[in-house]
Amino acid sequence: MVINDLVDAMVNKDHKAFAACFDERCRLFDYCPSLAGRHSTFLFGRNAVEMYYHNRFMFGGFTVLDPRITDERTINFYVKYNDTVVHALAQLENCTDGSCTLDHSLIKELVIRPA
Amino acid sequence: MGIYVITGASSGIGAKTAEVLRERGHEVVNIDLKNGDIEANLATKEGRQHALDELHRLYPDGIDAMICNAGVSGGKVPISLIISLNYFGATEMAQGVFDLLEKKGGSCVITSSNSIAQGAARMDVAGMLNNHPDEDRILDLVKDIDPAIGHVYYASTKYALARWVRRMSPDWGSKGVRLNAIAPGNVRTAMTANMLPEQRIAMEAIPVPTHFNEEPLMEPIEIANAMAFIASPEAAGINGVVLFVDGGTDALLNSEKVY
Repeated sequence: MVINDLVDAMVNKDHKAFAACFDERCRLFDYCPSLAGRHSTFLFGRNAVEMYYHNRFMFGGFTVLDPRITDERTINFYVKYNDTVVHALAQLENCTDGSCTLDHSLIKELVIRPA
Repeated sequence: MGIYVITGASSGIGAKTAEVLRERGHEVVNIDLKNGDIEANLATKEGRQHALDELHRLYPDGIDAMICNAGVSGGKVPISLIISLNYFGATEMAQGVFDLLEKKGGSCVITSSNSIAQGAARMDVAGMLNNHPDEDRILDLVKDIDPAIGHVYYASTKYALARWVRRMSPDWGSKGVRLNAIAPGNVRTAMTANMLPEQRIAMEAIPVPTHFNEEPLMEPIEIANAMAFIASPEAAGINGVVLFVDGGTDALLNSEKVY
């Protein structure tokens, strides 16, 4: 399932593998940075996801700790934004197959919120 | 046609900007350490004074634009050089030609950097430069700092330059002289050609959206065209602006900073 690939990519800080989990016209919203004194993240399009996380993975702006897949659409994890750790839930709101369970499914919308 | 003065136009962005302006029929005066129309070391007070004296001697009726572009990146050079050339070499030169710009209703452009938006700058250093710009004391303070962390001081000087532009531009504008800053992304220049391998990896992690899946460095012409425009009378309504010319990097990393 795409959620497994997504977690692997986040843990390995592989921005290309991370972006490969998304549909070309995807949306990614992350509301957790506001708890670390930063603006929330709003990304539109797979290329933007790839470029943004290339930067964040490299410079410590997004480090995933202890990710746990609770179901085919939800990841419970800690995320470190530089020096601040936030307990977060990543929710696959929508996928190309509708259920996010098929082998070739891609994420159309991912939302990360404080847990 | 106008008289455009550029510092650091012997290579890189400055050289390309000079080329663009000459193609448009302007007279261009390059102030640089080597191969300049006026040769001067802008990292020193004496060098800056020499350049200013020469400009006043050659152009007593004024100049149309001053582009303060000379600068050095961090990593290999003393921190003192980064501060003296990047910050004082720009602000002292800009203020030193204000009277020449005022005579012709000209404009001034300062080269900043899009690194100012990436959190690398030390705000205490930027604060010292902007609020208490005592060059001798600041240089004494940094004399023993390891050049390896020069990128922090580079970003600090560039942040201070952008803020200096914002602070000074209302008064300058009220006297008919526009003052703006250009904040380029990573550009292919002599500076970037000499990057250490780890610097190159870090540079590639600051993506330029318009160069996606291509050479990650921007071309000097991309910056030069913006520089020539903002210095020109066509940009008469633009004052106090820090214009990011980075192919969209700042928008990618800071989309919520609308203002």
